[in-house]
Amino acid sequence: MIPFYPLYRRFTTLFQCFGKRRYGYIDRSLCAIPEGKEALYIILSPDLYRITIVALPVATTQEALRYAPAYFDAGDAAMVYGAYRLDEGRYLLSACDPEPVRKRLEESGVNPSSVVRFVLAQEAFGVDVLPIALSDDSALALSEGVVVRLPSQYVSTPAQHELEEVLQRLLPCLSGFKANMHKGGTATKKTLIMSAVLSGLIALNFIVQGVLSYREGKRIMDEQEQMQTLKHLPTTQMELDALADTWEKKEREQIKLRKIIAVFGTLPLESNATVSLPPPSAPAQNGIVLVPGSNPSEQNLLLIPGDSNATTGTIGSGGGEFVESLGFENGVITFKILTPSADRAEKVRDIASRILKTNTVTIKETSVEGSIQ
Amino acid sequence: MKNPFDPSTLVVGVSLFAIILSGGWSLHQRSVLNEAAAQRDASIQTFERLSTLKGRWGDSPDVQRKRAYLMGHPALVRQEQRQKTLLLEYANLSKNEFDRIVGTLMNAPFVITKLTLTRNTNTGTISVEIER
Repeated sequence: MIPFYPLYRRFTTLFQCFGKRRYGYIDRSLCAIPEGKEALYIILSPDLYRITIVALPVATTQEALRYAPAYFDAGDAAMVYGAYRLDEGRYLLSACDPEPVRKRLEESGVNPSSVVRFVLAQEAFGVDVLPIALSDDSALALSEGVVVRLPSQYVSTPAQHELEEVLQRLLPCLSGFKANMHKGGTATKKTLIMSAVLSGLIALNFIVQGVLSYREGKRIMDEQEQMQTLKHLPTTQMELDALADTWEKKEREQIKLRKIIAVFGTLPLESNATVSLPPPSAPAQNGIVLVPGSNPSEQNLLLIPGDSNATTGTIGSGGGEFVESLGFENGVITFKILTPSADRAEKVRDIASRILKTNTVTIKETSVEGSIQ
Repeated sequence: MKNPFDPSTLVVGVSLFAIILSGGWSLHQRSVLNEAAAQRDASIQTFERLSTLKGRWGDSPDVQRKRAYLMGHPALVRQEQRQKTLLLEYANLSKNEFDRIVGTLMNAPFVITKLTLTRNTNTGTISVEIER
């Protein structure tokens, strides 16, 4: 119908003409989608677009297209404009509002986003097939070079062709136009694909992270299990803690035992007074081991080189006042100190209670007995 | 209302589901990893504490030498190896021998489980049970 296409457009669309193009048309206007298929190209009825033929002193359709909005004065509507060169200085301008087209497609059960291009009826049918009879007792006819849709009774020449019939022989190279048919907030197919791809990448990233975490966690657990097996350690942390706590308790008891025995050496007993304690000449030497936890720089009360010892004053010295027995079992230290008289026993009891910090010290005749926990 | 079986709804739904599922699984694995790492750190810490304690009270050459001295002492009247302990009893100890044995016991890291020191005017006895 539109006689003059730019040559390059003919070439570019030629391939598509013989390619996979599939045309549909809007029912009640020009649409009849083949059942079970979605139209890639839709032929628009004249009532869905506006056309005007104007004289423009421009050389190309691109330049003519720039003037189209001014001719149609469509306000804020997001119109899609087209321009076709008829002859020198004469152009056919078209304007299409995508919104009614989108609604029409939705009413017809067609997903608007599946439409690749829209083709004007003006562009689709040759002059020889017009007028065309439509299903709703109307017809497509030519009026002053423009394809219009009219009730059949207003068409001067009776329609010779049915729409279905002429659809089989459309003009070979139709350019049509693209239009954004998406409602606000509705994702396009492309957006959906991109979203799906991005989601897939995010999910893949999560999966990779998860797999790495799983492998690392398994490696740590295996390593730990191996360490516990090799070192004959308990398998659970609680058991390991309990074992360490037991050892700590044991150490505390041992240090306490040694400290208390050292304190016995400092009790002001007559025997202690008679035996002077020479200072250690070589602590921490010659196999001398300090009390664990004690400061090596401090005087070691327990072991003194030579025949004297800190315990010399406690047990084993002569005289009538000395520690007769000292026992340790289950963390409890018991002791018995012999004194020469009851009066002295009273004094020793007070001294022992104070220094040993225990209130379990008792007197039995001339001996002082007690326990320390 | 939008058809839940609409392709776009399905794509969005499946994508979200995949993200939530994989994210949840990943987080779970991460928490398992963190837990394992924390447990390993705690185990290493406890193991080091235990090693230090055992090393401090362990069977060093010095301890072995002192044990040999205690076990070879002429005043040793009873020696009994028990399941986990060693019982040593000394009798008729002179003052110096008594002091030396007590000093050896107290200044070496023997884990003493039971100890009895007794004396009379001239002699002393020692009964000691140490962990082997």
